[in-house]
Amino acid sequence: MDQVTKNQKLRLLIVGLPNAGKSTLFNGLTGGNRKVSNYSGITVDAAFGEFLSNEENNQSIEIVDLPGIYNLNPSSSDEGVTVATLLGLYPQMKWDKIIVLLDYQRLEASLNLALSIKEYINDDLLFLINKDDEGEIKPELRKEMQRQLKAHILTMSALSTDKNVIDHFIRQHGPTPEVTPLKRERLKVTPMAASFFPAADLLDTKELPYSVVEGSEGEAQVEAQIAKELNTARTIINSVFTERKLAPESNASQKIDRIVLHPVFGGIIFVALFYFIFNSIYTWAGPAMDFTEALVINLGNFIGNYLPEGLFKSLIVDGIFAGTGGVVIFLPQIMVLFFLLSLLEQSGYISRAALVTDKIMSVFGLNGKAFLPYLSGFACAIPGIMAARTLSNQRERMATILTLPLITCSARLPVYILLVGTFVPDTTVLGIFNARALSFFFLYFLGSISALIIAKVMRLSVFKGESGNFLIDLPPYQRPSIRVALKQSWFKGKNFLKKAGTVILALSIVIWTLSTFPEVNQEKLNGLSDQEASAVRLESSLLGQMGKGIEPIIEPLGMNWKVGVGLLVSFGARELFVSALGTLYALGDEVDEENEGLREKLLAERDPRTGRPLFDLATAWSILIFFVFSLQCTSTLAILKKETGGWKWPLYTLGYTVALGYLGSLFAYNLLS
Amino acid sequence: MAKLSEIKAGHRVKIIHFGDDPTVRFKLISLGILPGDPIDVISCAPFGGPQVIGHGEAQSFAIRKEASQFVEVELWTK
Repeated sequence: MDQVTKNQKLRLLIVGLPNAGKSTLFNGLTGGNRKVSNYSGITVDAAFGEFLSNEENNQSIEIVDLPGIYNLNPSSSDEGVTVATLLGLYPQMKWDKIIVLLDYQRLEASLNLALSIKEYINDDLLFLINKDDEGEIKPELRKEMQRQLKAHILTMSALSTDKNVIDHFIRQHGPTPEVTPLKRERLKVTPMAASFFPAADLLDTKELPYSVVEGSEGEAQVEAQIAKELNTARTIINSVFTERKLAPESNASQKIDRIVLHPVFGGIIFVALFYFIFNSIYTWAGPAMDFTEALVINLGNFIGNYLPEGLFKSLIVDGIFAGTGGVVIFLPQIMVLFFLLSLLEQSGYISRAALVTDKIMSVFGLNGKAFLPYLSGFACAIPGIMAARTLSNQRERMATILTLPLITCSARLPVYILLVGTFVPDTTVLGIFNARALSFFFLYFLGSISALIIAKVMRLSVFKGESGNFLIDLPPYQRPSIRVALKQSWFKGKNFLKKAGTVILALSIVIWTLSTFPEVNQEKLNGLSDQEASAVRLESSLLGQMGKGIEPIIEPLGMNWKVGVGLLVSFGARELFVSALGTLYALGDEVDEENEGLREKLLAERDPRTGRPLFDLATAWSILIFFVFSLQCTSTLAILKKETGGWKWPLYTLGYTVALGYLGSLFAYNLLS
Repeated sequence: MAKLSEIKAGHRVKIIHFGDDPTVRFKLISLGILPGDPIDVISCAPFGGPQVIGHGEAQSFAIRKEASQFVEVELWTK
């Protein structure tokens, strides 16, 4: 990332309190699709973006959005990233100017941070005061603040202020040709805070730009350092404003919180909201999914009709359509889930949910802040694992990220929907519950409760130690924007399709190739019916042989070699299980004219020896339970390696989840058959 | 004098002392709170969960009872 800074591009940092509106500002200036949400700590990694106006200006500006901080003594690794960047501890992350984004609704806390940056980092700053939605800061007040703070100030509202005004202000005051010397009162940090900085031996400087102060003496010095700036901030605010009117939302929010965080109603509201979300995924997206599936099958058959018989037709119909198409049909579910989650995130409820769950989480040795990572894990473990950087306690963080793969992610959804929808009867049980909905609930519940129990086991063994302290911001509630939610849902849907169109497509072709070659000598097929011939071809293919190879291991689980192939490939990505079965069953058919999906083919398959159905409820549950536990995702392994700094913990996680999956599967099969 | 953790929802108290945990002290000051300031206990989360605290600015925050038991307060009198 350093090569670009050479050609006179200015690099500006945006710094501010969590939830001050940094990401919204970043998106406005760069047009970037950085995720915006009303939860402190969602920005877990720095984002880089080019100004939209770079095209019509000589001066190119790059802007970096850093995780929010409260003071210069970081208490978590994402705060550590910000402070270390400000201090210039990353040799490759040089910057030219700092923009401090202040929150008018939290002016004391914002100014406290701004003043410490001015005192300890650099005194040439640009101030943007955000959330002045009612225009409370009149021009004369702004001028008075400018005079006292000796910095250029723009007051704005990220919601209504024209982006060009902000862009112009930054262009006018941002580029300073002469290099301003760092004015640095030496920053004091506690040893705990210093532990979030990059190791000192990685730095090219002889002298560190901060001092580590130890013991209670040192803590008192750091406390005095922070309190000094707060007192200055209060003096400035009191001399500039006679009365500071706060947004009416803050009062309304306190009233809402009395109910939403009520000892009794709070719990009920929480359960009702999440039941509603999971219910909507299946009831709203169901018809859309049936429609997409019919579309994919018909399109495949339609194209198939125009292709000459042979390998090419087989590749298109059995490889690409049956393989990738089987995954694409889950698009509606993904989009509905992300639409609803986005509404919830924007409203500000997610941080309340962290409070409601905090006590339960603490029973399992975790923190209420782990709720957001776990919740993200329902979509995908990767953003969840990254969001866990906001956890300040390292042991809690490890226990959280190593159990996150147990949370039911959306890649499991295709497998669950296929098997539950095919093998669990659509009947009512216990009077009011639908058997399928109940099965889904059970699968989600099993994954989540196992994650918590294993986290507890880890917190009592490998990650034994104290809990982190708990202090969380509750941003005012906001009316969620449908437009943002639709955009978010569209964005996730697009990414899902992209994955289906690239990785899954490529792997589908690989699976097709492996299950088609080597081709069988024609003489062996003489005298066999078409169906028998296809079966023989498939069994003698490379993938067939691999499946046959692991059959002894999975036979006790009630699985045949085709499922074995599915399991093998699903370790690349879980959706591939459905692709592989799609291709295997499409190839196994004698002809392609039948207009039926994978579900019918699974139901229809018979054991050639006994003539009884090969797949039944016991097999289905055996596979389902394996998927509940097992970490089958190369991307998750890669992110675990990145976050834990080595292969030890990813392999540990892979080992324990697969072992749990096998044992759970064995238990379920023997119980049901 | 009382512990913050013992204060029921709906009361306003004055902070006397932050207690010993440095992280809690640093964070409370950074949020804009100093000893002597008034704060409001807005509610207490389910299952004995954290307390929701309001103070002079527009944003409330929550604090775990393990942390708030070290914060010494007294009832606010005008």
